[in-house]
Amino acid sequence: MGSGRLRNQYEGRFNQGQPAWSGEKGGECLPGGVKQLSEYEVRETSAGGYALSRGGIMVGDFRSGRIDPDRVTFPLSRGTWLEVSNQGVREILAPEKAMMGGLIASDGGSHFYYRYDEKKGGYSSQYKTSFASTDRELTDLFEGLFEAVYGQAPHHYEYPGRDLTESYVSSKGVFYDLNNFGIKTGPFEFHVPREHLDDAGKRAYLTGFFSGDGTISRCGNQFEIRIYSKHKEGLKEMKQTLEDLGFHPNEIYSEERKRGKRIEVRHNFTIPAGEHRRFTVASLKKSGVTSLVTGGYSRK
Amino acid sequence: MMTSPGIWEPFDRPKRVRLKTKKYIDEMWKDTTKECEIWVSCRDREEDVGFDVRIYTGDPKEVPRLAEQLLNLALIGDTKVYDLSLELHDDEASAEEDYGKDFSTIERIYTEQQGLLADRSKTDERVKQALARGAKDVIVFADVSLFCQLETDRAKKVIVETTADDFGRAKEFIDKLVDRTRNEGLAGRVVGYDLWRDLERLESYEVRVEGEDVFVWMGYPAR
Repeated sequence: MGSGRLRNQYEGRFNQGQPAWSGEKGGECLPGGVKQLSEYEVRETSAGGYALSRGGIMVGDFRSGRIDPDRVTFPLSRGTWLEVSNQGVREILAPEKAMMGGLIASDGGSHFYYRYDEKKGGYSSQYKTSFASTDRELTDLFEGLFEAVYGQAPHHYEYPGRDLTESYVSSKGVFYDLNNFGIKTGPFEFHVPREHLDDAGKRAYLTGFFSGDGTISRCGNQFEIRIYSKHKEGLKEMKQTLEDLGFHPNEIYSEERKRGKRIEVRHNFTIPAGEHRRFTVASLKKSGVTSLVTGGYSRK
Repeated sequence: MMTSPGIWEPFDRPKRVRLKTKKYIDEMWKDTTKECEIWVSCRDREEDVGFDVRIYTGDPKEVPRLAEQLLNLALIGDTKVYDLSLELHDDEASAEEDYGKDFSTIERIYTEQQGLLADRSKTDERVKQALARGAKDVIVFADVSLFCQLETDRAKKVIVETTADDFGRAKEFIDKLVDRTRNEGLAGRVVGYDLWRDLERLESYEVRVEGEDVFVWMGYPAR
């Protein structure tokens, strides 16, 4: 849960005002409205919110929630939800945060570095989370998603004489939040946080990533959909994520280029032709990100 | 031969690259150093083509400006830059890259290779079945790297390279890249071309049948 007093931890993570303390019995509830999911119970409260309990002990009190047949989700902070299902409890990324994560994984960065401060005569740590693109719609999309998740607008830099625009923030909190999910593990390296993504989140993440590192190209009169990366492990996770969604991507192959005695390698995999339509139509429509999704944000 | 620790990081701007390169060259260029090889490695996302531009120079004073210009050249259009780096050589490394063929020879070599790959793909069960059902032509798509060597007053040699699984796309892009290199003031006349792929390692990963045509995609198994 992190550092700080327990009350602060609950307020910080659940963003629900007065927390319910572990060990206390739940408050007054309306009759009925009980949903049993594995060892957890969800009840509607008299205040119009929801109470989550386990073995009769209250563990959470939420102002709002979404009730689905096989799960309940409660919004936490920073674009994260608490999902309660028959498989248990986990934190998942809201589609906005998942899509933002995919954009950062492909064409962004999130890192810290040490900078020498001449005035102080020493080094201080600096944090930067960023996304850059020649496609203005994508940077607008990123900025909208970022603001929806973190409640602040990123800075905006336009490279003089170029189409390239960079959106960035210098925030320790944002860096560590994304770091917790392993969104960006190094230059050109990433982790797909599958354990924190439901199907809508997976589609949103893929949409974000594809906007940067996916292509639709033409060979003769045939089309190819391909996803690229230098990072083979990340690409394997991407492939697994597609398989989770019912796709059957081809194996990962390498693009090999000879430079003198060296062979330079980058990796990619393709979507089989029979799944092209489903990939382009279904994954974009159902990613769950509504007004922030702008038309034409996919590259081709 | 010495390898640079990295004169470029993602999002570095050209001027910063020039400054980092100067610092590196000032420290590392020795009396025994004969050449510096500078390269930028990218993908053009609009065209779905990988490309490299390499410059070989024996003048340490030129290296920072050349590195900056390479990045300028790469950042045209919708490009993803994967790497910009340099390597110092104690020998004439540029001699290992010599591309002097005319383009009609390249096209002939490519056509012969395509024939070999098409014949090899006929051992694939999916292709066999398609041919048994009446398909007639086997068309192969497999990565091919095209090289173009350019004359230059600025350095010893400039090489531009494109890689795509469609020959037409690779050729069209290499022509654009040659123009960009000239516009940046880095090179002039075309000396010649060459082509590379490792035919032995290519294997089929997708087969599609459309009418009388069988399309086969081939790639290099991931290393």
